[in-house]
Amino acid sequence: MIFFLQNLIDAVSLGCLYALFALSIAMIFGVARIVNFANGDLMTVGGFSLLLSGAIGSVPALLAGFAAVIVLSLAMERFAFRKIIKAPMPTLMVMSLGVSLLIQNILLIVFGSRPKGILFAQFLAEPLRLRDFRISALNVVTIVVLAVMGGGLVFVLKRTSVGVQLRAAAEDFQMARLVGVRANLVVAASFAISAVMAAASGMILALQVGTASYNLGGRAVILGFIATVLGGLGSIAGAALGAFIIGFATVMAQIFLPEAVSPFRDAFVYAAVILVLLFRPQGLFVAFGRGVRA
Amino acid sequence: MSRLFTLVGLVIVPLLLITLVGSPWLSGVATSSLILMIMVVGLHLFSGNSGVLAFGHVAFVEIGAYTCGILTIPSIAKPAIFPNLPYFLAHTTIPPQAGVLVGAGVAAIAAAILFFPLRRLNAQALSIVTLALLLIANIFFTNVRLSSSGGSVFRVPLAASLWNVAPWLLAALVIAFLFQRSRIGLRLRASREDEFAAESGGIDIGRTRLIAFVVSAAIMGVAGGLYALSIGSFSSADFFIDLTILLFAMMVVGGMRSLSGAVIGTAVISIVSNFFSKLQNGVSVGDFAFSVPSGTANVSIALCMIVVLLFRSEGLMRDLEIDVADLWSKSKSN
Repeated sequence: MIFFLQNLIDAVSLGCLYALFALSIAMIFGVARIVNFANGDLMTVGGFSLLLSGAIGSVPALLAGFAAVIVLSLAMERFAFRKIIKAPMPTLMVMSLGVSLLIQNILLIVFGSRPKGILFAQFLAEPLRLRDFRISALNVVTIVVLAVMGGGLVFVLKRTSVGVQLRAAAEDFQMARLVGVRANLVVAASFAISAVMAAASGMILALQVGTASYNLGGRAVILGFIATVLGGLGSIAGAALGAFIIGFATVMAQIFLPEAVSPFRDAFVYAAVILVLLFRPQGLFVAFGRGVRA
Repeated sequence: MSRLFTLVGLVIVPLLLITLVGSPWLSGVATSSLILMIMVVGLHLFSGNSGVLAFGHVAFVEIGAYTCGILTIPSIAKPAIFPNLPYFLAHTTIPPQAGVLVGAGVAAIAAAILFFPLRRLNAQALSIVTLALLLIANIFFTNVRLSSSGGSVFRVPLAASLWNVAPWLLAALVIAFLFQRSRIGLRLRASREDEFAAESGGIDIGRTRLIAFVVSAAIMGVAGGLYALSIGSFSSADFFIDLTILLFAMMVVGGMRSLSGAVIGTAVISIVSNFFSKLQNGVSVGDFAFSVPSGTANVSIALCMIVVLLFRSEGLMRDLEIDVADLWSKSKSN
């Protein structure tokens, strides 16, 4: 029973982390139709910001991290994407590859290729104990962060003017513009919201491994994409759910796969995702026939 | 036809010059650039014609490299390197160029099997799923217990010189050129412009993409085999995101929809990145030695990509092909 519960919490927390990745990806995709590879590097920058905690203290470091990632994300929107926002999707995808390569290698030049150890909130590495029951504090934090961010996102999308415009733009960008939604504003807003999720993801990732390195967010961003496709491109809640399922399945695969094949765990999970897509090419949580004609 | 000759000339003339110069560094750099060019031509054949970005194509380079590597390593050396090979593989060694061909075949078969069920996906989902394929291939080749050191391969005979690689590149160019104007190529390009319209016009997009995918995977496989023969030892880390981004940079800078673009983009990015790699390793001018930090070459590639996409987002060549006949007639009419 305890074994079961502990693994359940692991699975839920990994699912929550992946959901955070996916929300960050889906936010931009939903509004601007950009598959943004550079989001992974925003995560990396978020991770690196924790290095500041020694110099300026933990809370300022967190705030500085969020601020830096949001500014970087807005700069990316302004200088890399705004001019070509009407270009076909492959062009935007490749632009994001270029931006990603740029940020990653600037980080490499500045910080070097060796991972930097992070001394931030070390109590998070200690397990929380409740009689025989032990869970890692970081897992709990991850779940709480997703709950807060998810709640905040729902609030912004449902209750604020910008949120309503975002949803309108995600539904039909052209139509939204015709009724007075300012295109640049909503796209920038989606980049900013996405940056908040990316920063949080990057910080959690960095805390998990205990170090920050220039390629911290590389795999996370790919996972976010795959989850978004599984959930259904264009559906933000779907992306989060898809990601949660992938995270959950990964931990289950870890437990139930025989030891000989356990190094291939993630390969099995991705193969399963592809298999699901064969039966639901439009994704799990999207009604059929809502294809978008570019 | 004159377009094809132009393309061939575009490749052959610089090669002749490089051979004349006779610098070993230069011909080494040129060899690896030619191999990259084969990859870009392969990637262009699928992505350029279909408009579907295939992020997983490097996996077929990997399959080609592993196949060619395992088949061409001398069988005397095999037991030490690969204790776990099946008897048949452990006791056969085939000539390098045959290894390249077999590698291409295996890559094509793998592509056919993998893509067949994926052909129903729409363009966006397909792009991301190929990314999943890349991850799966990477996990597989990293963890497979092939050799004494996990998934790495070494002691492949170094049989890829400049003029050994060039014929393969020319073959890839001819195939890509003919494909572009074939019935299937035209259908694929129609589906790139408008999936819905093409489908209503009776084009079976899935089948068309499947054929292109297999042909382009074969070309990637060729490049993989040649890569193995040019570098001698490699591991799965060589065929991952970095190489994928590099290929996309080359394809996009030249112009994704143009075959001449693939050639020109590869040339431009190769020159820029090799120039900065050289600086990264340090150069001395007179008594003054200096180097730039590692990562600079990649920054230069990234800036090339971003600048080209911002100011000429369809790439240097747009969707045009270079043609000496056009240039000739233009200069006459002036």
